[in-house]
Amino acid sequence: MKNNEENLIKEFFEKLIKDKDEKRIVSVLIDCENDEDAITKLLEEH
Amino acid sequence: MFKQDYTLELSRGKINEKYDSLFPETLPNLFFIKGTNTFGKSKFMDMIAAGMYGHHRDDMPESMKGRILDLLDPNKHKLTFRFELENKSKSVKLLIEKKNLNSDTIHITEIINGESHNIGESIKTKYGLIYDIPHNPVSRIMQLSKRIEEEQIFMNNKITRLKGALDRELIDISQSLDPQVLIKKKEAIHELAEDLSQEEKKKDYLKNMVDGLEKLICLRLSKKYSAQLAEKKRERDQIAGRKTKIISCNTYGNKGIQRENGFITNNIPQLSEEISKLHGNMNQLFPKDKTLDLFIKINIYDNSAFKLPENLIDMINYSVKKLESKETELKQDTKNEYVDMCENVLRVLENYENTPFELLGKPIKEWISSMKKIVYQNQGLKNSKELIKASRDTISLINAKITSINMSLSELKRLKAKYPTAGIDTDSLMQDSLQRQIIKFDDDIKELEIKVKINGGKYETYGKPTVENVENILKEDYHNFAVKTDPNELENDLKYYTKQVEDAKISIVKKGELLKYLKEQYETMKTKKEHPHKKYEERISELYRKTQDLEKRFIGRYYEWIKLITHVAPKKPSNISEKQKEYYELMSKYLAKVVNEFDYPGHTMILEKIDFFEQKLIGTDGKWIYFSDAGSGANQVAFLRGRINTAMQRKQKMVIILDEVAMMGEPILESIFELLRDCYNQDLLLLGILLKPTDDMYLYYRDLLKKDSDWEKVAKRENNGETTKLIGAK
Repeated sequence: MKNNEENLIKEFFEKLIKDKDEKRIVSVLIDCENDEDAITKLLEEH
Repeated sequence: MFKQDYTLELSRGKINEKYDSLFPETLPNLFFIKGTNTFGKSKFMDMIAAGMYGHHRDDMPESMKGRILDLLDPNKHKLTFRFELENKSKSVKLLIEKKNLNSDTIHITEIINGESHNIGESIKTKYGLIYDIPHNPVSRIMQLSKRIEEEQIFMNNKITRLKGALDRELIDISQSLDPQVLIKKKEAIHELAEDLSQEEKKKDYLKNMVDGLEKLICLRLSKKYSAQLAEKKRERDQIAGRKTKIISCNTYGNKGIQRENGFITNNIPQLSEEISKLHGNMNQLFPKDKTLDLFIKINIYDNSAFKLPENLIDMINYSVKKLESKETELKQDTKNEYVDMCENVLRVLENYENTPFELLGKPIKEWISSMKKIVYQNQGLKNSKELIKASRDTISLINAKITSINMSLSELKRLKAKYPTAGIDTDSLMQDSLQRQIIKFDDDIKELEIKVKINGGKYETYGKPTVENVENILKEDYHNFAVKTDPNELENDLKYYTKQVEDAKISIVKKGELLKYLKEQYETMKTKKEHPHKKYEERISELYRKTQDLEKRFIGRYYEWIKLITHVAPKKPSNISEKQKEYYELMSKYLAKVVNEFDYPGHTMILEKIDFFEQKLIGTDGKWIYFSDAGSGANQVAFLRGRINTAMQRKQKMVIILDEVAMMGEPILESIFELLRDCYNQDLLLLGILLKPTDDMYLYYRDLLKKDSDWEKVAKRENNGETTKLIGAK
């Protein structure tokens, strides 16, 4: 998928999901390649 | 003229697949290729586009750029190529080369009127490249919606994975050192140990109850069986007495009766025979009718010395009957009265032998004489006296037999009085009758013995219970059960408490295992360090719950909703929820953003949204077009024509590659061919290639500069998957 499309689908998911935490989970999952990074990122902001 | 050659290795794990060009080295400036997808047509086109620096051109669709960059990536593909492109008048020639397998560097040499210049990247401004798939926007939208579906699945997989990672994190945290948890675990262990101890006590108490109840039941049963035992013993003694009696009766009574009866039975026929013999003698001496007449005539009825019966024959018959009723009157005829009568009659007749009396018209003397004659002839006796003597002997014999029979009768009566149940029986019958009684008796005894043994067995197991020891066992509970005298009632209590014991045992095992587990956990935790994410435990739990919710949505409703859209002819659901409506609205806008614009003759529509249920592309200006109209070939060709015309107006020499033109009908394609020929004739077309897929096993090309040219077979895909070149490529 091209970058543009990637951003758009990210935007699509983020708009689709209302809950702040859930939104963040999806966003982090799009950005992070592995789960450890994703968890670290999710916890860092807490 | 277009000269070409290339080698390509595709990385396929441990083994690389190698390809080189299947086409003739020299090709016309404009040609058409068709074949199945696996001949590498698109790769060939991507190489040409790479040579034209397509991946650095702004007007190149992003998807094309991506493909070219991918092809040039030396980590993925080992590629070399060499292309020579020349326009119709041969005024311009481009030599494009990629020589190094491990580099993406492309050398471009421009030769104009015999002068060579290395132009490198400036090719993208000096020479045009139209490399496009004249796609149907609708199919593009369908592809995109499919992509959303894939992205959703992909996202769901990521969420599931994250959920698993969070779960593992929570487990790790729970198993890491937590002083507070450690204290709680210790407390829990203590509580559980206490609980277990109580449970053990409860179990012991219940076991005691069961023990006491079993003994109480044993006691009750003992009483019950003792009574039954006494009764049975009494019955057994009775039966034993009867048995002795029966044996005595059978031994003495039956045999004696049989003996006496046999004697009588054997002697009666002899007696009858003797009487019959006497009867014959009398009959010969005194034929019935004549003797009767004689008596009438001589009027012997009036003789007072004795009284004759009506006739002698009847008298004899009467005697026989008397004998037959042996047990009564016969034995009373002790004087042989009737026999004497017979003798007297003979004596009377002889007294009248010499008298003048006639008997039946004949003198008695003469009658006697003739009678004697008959007697002589028939009986062989000398005279009637001999016959009478014989009769007397017979009578004596009869008397003797009657005496014996009478004695036997007396013995019979005595035996019958002593053994009233005895009768005439054979030995085997007596034995059978006795045996049956003995078997019945033995069965009763056995049954009794089994019952006694069962109760005795309980005694052996538990020791002979007494009220005292049962009271000691059951203690204060004893009085609850003492009122129940029926063992069956107590059995119900026993079952209840036995079940309680079993439940307590199971509970103890479970609690014991739990206690062991908790202790192990406690010991393990003591040795561990605190988890770095311990402080986030609550947050991780929350995130875990969120991933659960997200997962449900992605694999559930989002999946169903997108499936509805990607259906060939989606229908708007009759009951659509607000969330579903929102989802479709977002998707519609997303797709519109990705596709962005749609060209049709004389106009470019900037898309606002795409309505799947209405099958419409809706522009930002409020105008809309149906999918069916947007997908028409006429719209596509108009757009392409516009691009080519624009380039031609700029007099820019160019390469035009149109992939996937299968959706275009023949008339539309012809118009494109004409346009490209026109471009060639104006000396502007360096190279023009069109491609379309087929399901054929061959790869073809067709020279479009020659009118009415035919398709030529270039290569064949064999059944084993191998490719055979049909024209010399080099």
